[in-house]
Amino acid sequence: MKKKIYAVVAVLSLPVMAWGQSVTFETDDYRSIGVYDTWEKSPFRNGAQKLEGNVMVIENPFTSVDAQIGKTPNATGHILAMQRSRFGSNTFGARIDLNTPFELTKQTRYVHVYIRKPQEGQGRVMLVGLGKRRERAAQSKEAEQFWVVSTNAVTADEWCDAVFPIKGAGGIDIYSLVVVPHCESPRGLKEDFAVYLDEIVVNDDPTPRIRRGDYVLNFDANTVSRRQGMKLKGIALESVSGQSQQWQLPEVQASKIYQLRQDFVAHAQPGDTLIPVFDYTGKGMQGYIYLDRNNDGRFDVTLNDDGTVPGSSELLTYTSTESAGSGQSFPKAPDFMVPADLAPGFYRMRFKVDKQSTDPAGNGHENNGITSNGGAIVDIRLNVHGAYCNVNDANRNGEVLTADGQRLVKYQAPFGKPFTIRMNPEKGFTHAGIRVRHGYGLAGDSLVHGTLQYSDVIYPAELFKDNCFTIPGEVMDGDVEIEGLFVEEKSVAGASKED
Amino acid sequence: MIKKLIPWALFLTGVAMPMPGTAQNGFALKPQTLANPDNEPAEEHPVPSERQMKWQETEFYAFFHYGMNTYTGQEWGYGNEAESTFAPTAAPNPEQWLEAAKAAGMRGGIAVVKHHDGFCLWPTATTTHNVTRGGNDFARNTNIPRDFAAAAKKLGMKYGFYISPWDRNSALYGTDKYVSDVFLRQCAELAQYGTDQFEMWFDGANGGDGYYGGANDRRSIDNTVYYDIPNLRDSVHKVCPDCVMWGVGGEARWIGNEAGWAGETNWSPENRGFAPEKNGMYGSEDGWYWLPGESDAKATNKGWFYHDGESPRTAEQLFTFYLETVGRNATLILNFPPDKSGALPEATVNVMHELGGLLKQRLGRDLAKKAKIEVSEVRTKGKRRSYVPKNMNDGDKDTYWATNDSTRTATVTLTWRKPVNAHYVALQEYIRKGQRIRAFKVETTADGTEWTERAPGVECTTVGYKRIIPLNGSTKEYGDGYAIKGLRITILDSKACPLLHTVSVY
Repeated sequence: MKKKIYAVVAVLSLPVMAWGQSVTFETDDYRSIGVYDTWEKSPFRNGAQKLEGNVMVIENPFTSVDAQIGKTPNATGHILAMQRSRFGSNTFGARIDLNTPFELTKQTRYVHVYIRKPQEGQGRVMLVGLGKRRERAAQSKEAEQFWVVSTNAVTADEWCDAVFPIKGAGGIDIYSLVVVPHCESPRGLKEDFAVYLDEIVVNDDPTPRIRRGDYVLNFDANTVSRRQGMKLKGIALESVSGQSQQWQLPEVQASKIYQLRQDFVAHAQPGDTLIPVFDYTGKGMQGYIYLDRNNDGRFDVTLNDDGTVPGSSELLTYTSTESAGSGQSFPKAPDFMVPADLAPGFYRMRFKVDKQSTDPAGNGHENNGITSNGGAIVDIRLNVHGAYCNVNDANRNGEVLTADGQRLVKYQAPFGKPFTIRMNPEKGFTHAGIRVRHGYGLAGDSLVHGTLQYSDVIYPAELFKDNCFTIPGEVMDGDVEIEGLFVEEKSVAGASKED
Repeated sequence: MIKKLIPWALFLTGVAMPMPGTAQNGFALKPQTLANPDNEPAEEHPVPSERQMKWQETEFYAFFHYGMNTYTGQEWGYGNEAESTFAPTAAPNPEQWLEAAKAAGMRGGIAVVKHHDGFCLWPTATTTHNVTRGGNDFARNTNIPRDFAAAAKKLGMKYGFYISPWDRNSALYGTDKYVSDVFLRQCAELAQYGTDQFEMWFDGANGGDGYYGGANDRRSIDNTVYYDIPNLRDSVHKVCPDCVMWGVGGEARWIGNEAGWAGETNWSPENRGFAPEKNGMYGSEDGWYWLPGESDAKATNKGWFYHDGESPRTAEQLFTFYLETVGRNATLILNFPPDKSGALPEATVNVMHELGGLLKQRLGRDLAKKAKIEVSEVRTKGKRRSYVPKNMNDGDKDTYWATNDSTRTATVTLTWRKPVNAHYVALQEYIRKGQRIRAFKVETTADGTEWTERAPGVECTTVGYKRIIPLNGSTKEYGDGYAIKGLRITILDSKACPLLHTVSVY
């Protein structure tokens, strides 16, 4: 069975659709290049004094591997360089005249442009289209047809794929594109700067070809939902035996579309079968569950041709029917199995309510995207564990033992159950309590792609009785390292309760 | 006591790629200079186009809702009204409308020539639903755009037309053919009535139920693309180069209410295409496009169209509208509906005269012309241009005072040898270079030494094309004014060096 790959990866070579050509600057795949300014009195247009734009195709010097995404974002041989003149307006840009015009239709399409610009060029980027109506023979091909700001931010000093949704009345041909790399007032600029463009493509995909960051979203993370009456109230995972792990979301007037809830922790063992539950009030939506199986900061989605989910996909399951609305249960997604080969650890799991989109970043289409369709995303942690925790101690001037005096060296304590320890300070020492580090990867970073792997908690001496203390079961949630806080006896009087 | 330490790491950031210098990798920045012999300040983009400047200087103009609804008593006709219902009791008289508008202190007018009901007030070739099928000879001889344009030219006033994009009569509405065969052709016909039109008004009400040639159904359209505005603008501007396409036309924005006020903070720049909802009153300081606001308000108490028993608002109420719109960087289009005779009712005309009288009396004599003006800083002059304080009361809108580039705050002080009685101060930025002022305050002195801050409760923030500040803080109460020997404006914050071309005191 063939598999469609839908991968949120660093670089995609997208096929050109419908337009028939892209502009790569590798060959003469454009008619001419120049500059353009919508400001009529610009010195680059009709101003009293005239300036020439500085634009040329050069060899691409920016082909290094991007450390954040692990690949070269743009390895092409040639790119377009332009000089952002401070004498141009806030809509001054590089003009690319196309070999073949493309139609501006009523359906939204997306123009993608690779852009690289320096820090002093920070601000919005815009795309302007020049063209004419097909039936108006006498109309200039330079009538401005659209002015669109990119849907995503372009960050400094790295290749970004700016995405511009465009549409029109239909019957309009676009002959030239003007990429405005700095759609801000130039008054504060002390000097001109260089901007680089490449790989211009028109297609139906709103997803940027280059995406950085972990668990990317197709919208600003602080975006608030505008759809009253379409709310994700809670989520749950049920086991086939009927046990349910549930989490309620706060009831607020205006909730964020995206919520990162690292305090919501689901527990499962490899091979467990789970059923996701969405407590959602809106109509016409579907639920999706994603799991970052290899903790690489992204959800790699694969789908079979028939829409089913292959076993290797990081889209675990989704509802095929749309929700019926308030008062009706959200349709159940097929159950999924926690991969049997998954090592113990904390994994990012994503619950998403969305409309007809398996994109883990949310439906990014201009019409009915997740920012307007009432969708929601909640990221939680999935604790994949075994039946036991590995418990070790890390001590000087004493040791921490089990209640019955066993040493804590790869000691196997039951997962999720309270665990009693006993302090055994060396002669001349007493203790001020213990520090417990619990979770996974205890020797590494506590955050892996933003997902919390372990926590530290201190239990001070006054909680101990007869040198014993019972660690709560919720702390016994993976690997556990116990450090006795042993101090000299003569310093106890002055010891602080704080570590 | 349990302490939990949950260390939070920083978000990952990409490794910064080194930025090549100005002459690497085959691309060199070319040094460019523009001669600036007059030491003019650079533009603070966006800036108005020439047609937008001319439009803004119109400031205050009339709206005339006349048509089929005048005879049905509706505000939104369904589109199935019989043409014979349009039956004026006399020949419609646009010249009378504009005479009254001129007496009101207005500089122009916009006549409705097709409303949502689709009935056209000129003999259009695009539909039979027009005056040629009217109910009497007066109706059948009506041609509002022709007569309105002629009257405006005779009276030296600006003119334009309102044409509703939404057409509840047309069977074609909702299809592409409506736009190409009806709407755009109607706009083209109207453009032929005068190449000096100053505004074409495109109502934002679009789609809904209607007659639609007998279909009697509901139709919706995507008004961001349906009317092909970019190409409509292109074709209208070829015939009428100074015609600002309002509203849906994308060159001036709706102020966001029909209550006759603009925000005290009102930026002309706006993010056309993605402005926040309900932002019409305020604009956006970082807006990418120059999109000034126009306030539309009704001068009568029943509706946009004439209704039996209506009466006009008082001149005082209309004067308040003026202060809260024209006095807040917006233009004001004030609606006076002609009645079934095709003329403005007497009561309406009387109020219009009264309003004109109030404007003349309260804002007609500029005391600043006789004032000495001093400033905290004067921009270094150029070869042919200076930026001295007297540019602010020389009566020339093309001269202006400015500070040097690095100065964003300043004071402007007007003094009189003998006390004058002042109610208002008006400031006007030289907006050809963009809108700049963010905050200011106004103080007066009666004796020349002790200063008192004025305009209590007024947000003295933006200025723009024109800002009129009532010294007593009220746009409703004229008050007695203040006997002053001095008036000081302190510009507290500005995006760039402030530029004022006129300061007036009334």
